[in-house]
Amino acid sequence: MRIVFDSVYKYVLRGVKLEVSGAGLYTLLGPNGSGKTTTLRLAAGIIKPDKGRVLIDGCNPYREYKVRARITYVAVHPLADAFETAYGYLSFYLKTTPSSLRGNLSEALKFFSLENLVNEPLHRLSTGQRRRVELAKLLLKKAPYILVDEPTTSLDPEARAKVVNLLKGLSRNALVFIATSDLDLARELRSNVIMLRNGVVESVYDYDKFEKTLHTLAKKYIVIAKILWKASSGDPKNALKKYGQSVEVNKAEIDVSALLKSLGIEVSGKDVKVSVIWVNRKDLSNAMQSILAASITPLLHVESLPMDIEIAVGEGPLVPRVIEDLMSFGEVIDLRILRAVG
Amino acid sequence: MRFRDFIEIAIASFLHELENLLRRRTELILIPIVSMTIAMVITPVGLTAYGGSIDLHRVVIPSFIMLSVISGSVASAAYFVVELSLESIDRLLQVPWPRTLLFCLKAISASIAGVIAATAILLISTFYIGISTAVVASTVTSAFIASLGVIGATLTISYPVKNIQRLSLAVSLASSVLTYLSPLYYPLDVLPLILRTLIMFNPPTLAIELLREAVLKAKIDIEVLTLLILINVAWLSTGIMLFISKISKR
Repeated sequence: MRIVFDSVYKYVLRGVKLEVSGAGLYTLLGPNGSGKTTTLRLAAGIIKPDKGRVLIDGCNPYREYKVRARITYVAVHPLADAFETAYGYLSFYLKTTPSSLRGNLSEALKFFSLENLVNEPLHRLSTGQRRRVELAKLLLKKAPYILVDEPTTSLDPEARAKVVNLLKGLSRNALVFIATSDLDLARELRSNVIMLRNGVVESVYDYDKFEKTLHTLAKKYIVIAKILWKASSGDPKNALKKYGQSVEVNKAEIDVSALLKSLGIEVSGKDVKVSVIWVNRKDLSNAMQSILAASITPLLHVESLPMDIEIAVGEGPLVPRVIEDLMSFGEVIDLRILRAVG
Repeated sequence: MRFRDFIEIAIASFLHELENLLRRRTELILIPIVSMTIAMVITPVGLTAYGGSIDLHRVVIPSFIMLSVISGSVASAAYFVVELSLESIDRLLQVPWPRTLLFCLKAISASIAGVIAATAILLISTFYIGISTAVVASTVTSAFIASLGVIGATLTISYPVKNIQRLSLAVSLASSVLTYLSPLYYPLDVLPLILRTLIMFNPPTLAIELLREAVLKAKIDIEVLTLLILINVAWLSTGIMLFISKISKR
């Protein structure tokens, strides 16, 4: 088992050099846009390098189909039309896997708790469920090369723990590459770490060395806080304004079915979400203010609904203060903190 | 990977495409069938009432069958292209099978759309004209081969289109261009040599010639059939090679 990147250029990658051999777990760690997904797609033979060579067991995965038969590539979402069912997607994957490497579909569905969702079109599944559909590929092909993009994104804690254990187990007999910006995932997996930054491999650590340098590394990282928050009064942006660029709101979503219910409209569906756009009325023209007053006043009820917020905090010590401020503007129902490459 | 795996993957890929076509993209087959059926019901009624000198059995109905071959082949190209969203390509590129053959297989299953549309119109035409083995065989063959050619031509012409998801624009353009470039209402040999040679490279042209011979003389012209296969296989090969070259530059 051997993966070689020989001065590879593609998109943001600028001469990536890397050589890894033998079974084991490797985490590709880097900030957004550092080329982690590109590295995985190159190794999977989905895209071709502009310059340089990618070799899996000495063969070019883009050209040689027999090598691709020995690779499992798990993308962030299923690579399919949204109207395809989870069953259709996974059974196609299984049928196009060589018989000697084929796993069991019902076991994979059971492991990822997908039995009742298999006949649903992918667009009806929540982000986490779609993620589990894609991850089920891990059990459908017993491949010696496994490439997984952001394995734990959008998963609940139980599914996350399962996936972490599964990846650890698979790495005993396979070379597993994981792409993530979550520093703590690398720690949880006790994996070797390949740092990608500015399109090149900055450094490669075995786990022990990684753990020793973790303290120094952590300084280069930002903290992501995922909060389920229910506003009591005011605009939470005001609470965060004083932090300037140190705190950035990445996401603010409410459960749209709960919102509609509060307006007396019952809807059915799974995890329907809508992004919330904060508008400061004072900044709008008089005409626009009257249009807003006439058209979206009912949406002001949003303040009584729980909201998924994701904030990026540049300096770790600021996190408790930010959370405390949010608590003074409402109720923090759930909180998850993770460190990501900045 | 054993030979058996190679065959199994081919069968699975072909059946998957066919299932997609018949279950999720039925509209692509139904649109040409419905529009041609309406034309076949209304036009003869209107022409008969008009009492003109147009020969319904020798000109109008055969033209509808020929037109259904063109509409069917455009439907095939539409299916081929519509399915190529970026994510579907990534999935196809993961399949452990030679890519050129994989896209050919996809084109073959897409061509079934053309065959179904043309055969359905042929069945409706039996209300007006007699049916022979030569007509059935030439309709099925010409619809299938012309569909492959139209897919190839679409991929070739749309090579400069950078965004793969916008390829469907090329199909809608192809629909009208192919119709006007086809000798629907007159035989090919009445045209001047230069124009004849040029039009012959239009993928459905020889399919229409083959059908005309079958409908009017109840025979299959082997020479036309051979040329039809050669020209359309050339279009398909060129289209697939260019398409693979395009996706390798993504």
